[in-house]
Amino acid sequence: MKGMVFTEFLEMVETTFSVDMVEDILDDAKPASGGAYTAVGTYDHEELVAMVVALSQRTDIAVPDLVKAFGKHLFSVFSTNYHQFFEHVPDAFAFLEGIEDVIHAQVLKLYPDADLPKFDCLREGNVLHMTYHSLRHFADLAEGLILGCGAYFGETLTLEREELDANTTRFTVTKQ
Amino acid sequence: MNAQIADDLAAIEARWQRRFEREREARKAAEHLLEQKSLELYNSNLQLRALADNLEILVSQRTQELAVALQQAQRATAAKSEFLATMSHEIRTPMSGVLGMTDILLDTTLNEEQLYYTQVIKSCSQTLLTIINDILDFSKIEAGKLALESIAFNPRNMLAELLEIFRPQINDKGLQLLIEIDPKLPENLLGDPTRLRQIFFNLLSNAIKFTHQGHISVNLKTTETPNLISATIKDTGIGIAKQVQEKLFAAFSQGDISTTRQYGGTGLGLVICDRLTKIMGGRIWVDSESGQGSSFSFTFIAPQSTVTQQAVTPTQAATSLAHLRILLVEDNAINRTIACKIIEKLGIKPDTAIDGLEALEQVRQHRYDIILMDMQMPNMDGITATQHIRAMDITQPYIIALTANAFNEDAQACLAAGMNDFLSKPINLDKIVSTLALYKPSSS
Repeated sequence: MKGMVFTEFLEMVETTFSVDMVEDILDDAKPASGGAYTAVGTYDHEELVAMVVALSQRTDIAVPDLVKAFGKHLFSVFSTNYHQFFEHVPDAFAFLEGIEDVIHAQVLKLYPDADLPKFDCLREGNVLHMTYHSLRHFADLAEGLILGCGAYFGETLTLEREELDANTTRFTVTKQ
Repeated sequence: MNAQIADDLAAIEARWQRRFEREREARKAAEHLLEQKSLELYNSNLQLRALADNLEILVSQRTQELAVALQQAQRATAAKSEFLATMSHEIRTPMSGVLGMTDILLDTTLNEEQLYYTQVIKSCSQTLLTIINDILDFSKIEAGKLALESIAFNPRNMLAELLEIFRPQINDKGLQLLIEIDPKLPENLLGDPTRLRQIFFNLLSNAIKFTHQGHISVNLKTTETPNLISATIKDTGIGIAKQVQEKLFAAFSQGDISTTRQYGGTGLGLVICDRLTKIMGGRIWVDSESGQGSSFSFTFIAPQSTVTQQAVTPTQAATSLAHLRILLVEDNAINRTIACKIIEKLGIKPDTAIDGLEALEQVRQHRYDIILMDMQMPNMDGITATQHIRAMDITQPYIIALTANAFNEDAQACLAAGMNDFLSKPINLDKIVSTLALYKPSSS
């Protein structure tokens, strides 16, 4: 998983909780990489899982809620750092539909060996069916990102989830 | 209490120390990654530049290779032409021997069996010569070495002569012959009668070959395009299937294999017709259906000529030639015998020489009206001998080149050396007579 997800997660923990919380969850999770994350590096996604679990235990907030919150945060970071992807994009659905062809295509230029999740989109009026497929089971993160996207465009999106199989989740996103 | 604070402080310090170490490591890792990426970029750039450079070298190399290949191809073509000229000579020399000797043999007293055998030899030799000529013609056309003549000729006479040749075959097969010539067709045209005759000859012999009953019609007419003449040879023969028609004018392909078996031929006749009509500014095409007969049409450019064709008939000429003194220069004993026999038929007993040197000797001692000069001979060739004769202070003879080389360059070389005319082998009575008839003594 790309290093930026790790650095942004720790920053969120630092801002939302404290510097000490960062040290605590690193102590708890004991990541194999040593926790010296850099945005341009690549790390094992299990390290992120371990840190989220540690945070959940220390804060008594459920893991899915933490991950969703992180998703929202991550999206706002993306929109600040990579505003070029947002030019000429009219709404949330248009952005979500472009993840596969526009954003992932750019990611692969810089990181040809990046292992990216798949998003298949099908739009029906004000409903967008998104099928998320990843071996890492970060559907919660995807949900947070989708909601973050709605927030960025000032739209209220409601979400329904359906687990199709162990690696596939279908989101039915409705625009109010 | 103080100890507790000191412990806490130590713990906080340790945490910050760890955090500091982590950040430093992250920075180093990032720097390392960036360095790697930069190096990759640098190497990619180097490769790109090398590729661009290589491309230019490669292009210039390829260009050079192509230039060399072109030169080689040109040399090969030149060698091929040279080979053709040689083969042309090598093949025609013995052929003229066979044909000439057969003619002489036919003039002797033969019993019925011998006569039949000799006629078969003659017929086979003529067929072989036609095939050889077809192949040589085709090679010449493909090598771009065929140059057309532009002389006056009478198309009606040409057609009449041709039909005279074919009349026995037409009669034998019980076919009817219909001829239609546009009255508007000029009396004399300017063009290459030899090649035109060749096209007619091919189409007529095909028509006769493939027609077993009915008729053959020949139509010659002017068209709306100025100077464009159109000819059609139509028959009621076996016809040609549509899919076969497309291949008719392609080299080395025939109607079909069974046709080849049944009817023979090299399959070059129509190809040569196609190329010849193109060189003559026209085209050739066929309208036919299997079993419904065929109609071959072709067009050619031939402007009206104000000059009249010189008509020569052997009998006229023969009577006026008997007084001529002729020297025959020919190294090949068989050819020499044949030529002598032919000339003797005109009532002339020619002197002979076996090479250029001997010819010079004869010319110094006797006065000749006409010298028939072979081109390729040992000791001194025909061209050199002619140049020597032309340099002599004598009443200059009329020199006619005899050669197995049927190429136009040879004719030009002969004329450039000071010869008056050109006669290609195999020679026969008609050819010699019509060439000699053009001879006009400079002083009598």
